[in-house]
Amino acid sequence: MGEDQELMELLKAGDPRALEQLIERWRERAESYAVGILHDRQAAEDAVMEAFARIYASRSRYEPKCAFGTWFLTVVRRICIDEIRKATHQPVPVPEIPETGTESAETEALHRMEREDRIRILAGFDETERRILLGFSLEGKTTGQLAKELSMTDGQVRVRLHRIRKKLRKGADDANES
Amino acid sequence: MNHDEYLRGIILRGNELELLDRAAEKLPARHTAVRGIIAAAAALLTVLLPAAGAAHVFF
Repeated sequence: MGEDQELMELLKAGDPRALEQLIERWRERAESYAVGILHDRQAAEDAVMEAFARIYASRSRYEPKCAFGTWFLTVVRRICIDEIRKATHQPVPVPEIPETGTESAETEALHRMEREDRIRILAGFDETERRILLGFSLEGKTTGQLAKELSMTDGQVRVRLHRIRKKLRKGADDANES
Repeated sequence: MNHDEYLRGIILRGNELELLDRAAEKLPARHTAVRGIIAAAAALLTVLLPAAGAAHVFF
């Protein structure tokens, strides 16, 4: 098992120092890669920070099936692509993921993306969607209660809830197609 | 942004995403009225069709 995989296992086990070490090992490389896509240093730094947050969020489901570097740079790439799409609404040509010195291929990393897809979709939720999802699903609030809290009508909350389900379903479908 | 802020930012955002992921996992599937009607109709047919067949034998 490589050093990165060991660090991910430690992170999964709850050791926060492992995250620091992964940042030390990968931040610079990932930012250079992101600058190559976004052509903007600040946006690249933000994208890499977001990628680390997504890795951290999905740590409990981590399985060392492919090289950490390939997986991580694939996450970075997807964040960059999403950023460009948001800004331009155009298809994005992006450079290949650089070699990370292991046997794993990008296609293996893409399979792993299925698990990250939901987090990717959730990362794009606005504040209202986040509050509705958390309130309805985890806190057991009704649409009526949420409507009051958010100064919306019950119908508006139901519509937003429908859109949340649709987005999550679309994310799952996209993952299955890739 | 210094090292500690960077790390704290990642952990905060990571925890937020993790919580949302848990909520998405638990989000109950919505059964629409249309799906309910279709299910009820299918159930009715499975009961009525054999019954109609049996009635045909007698009349």
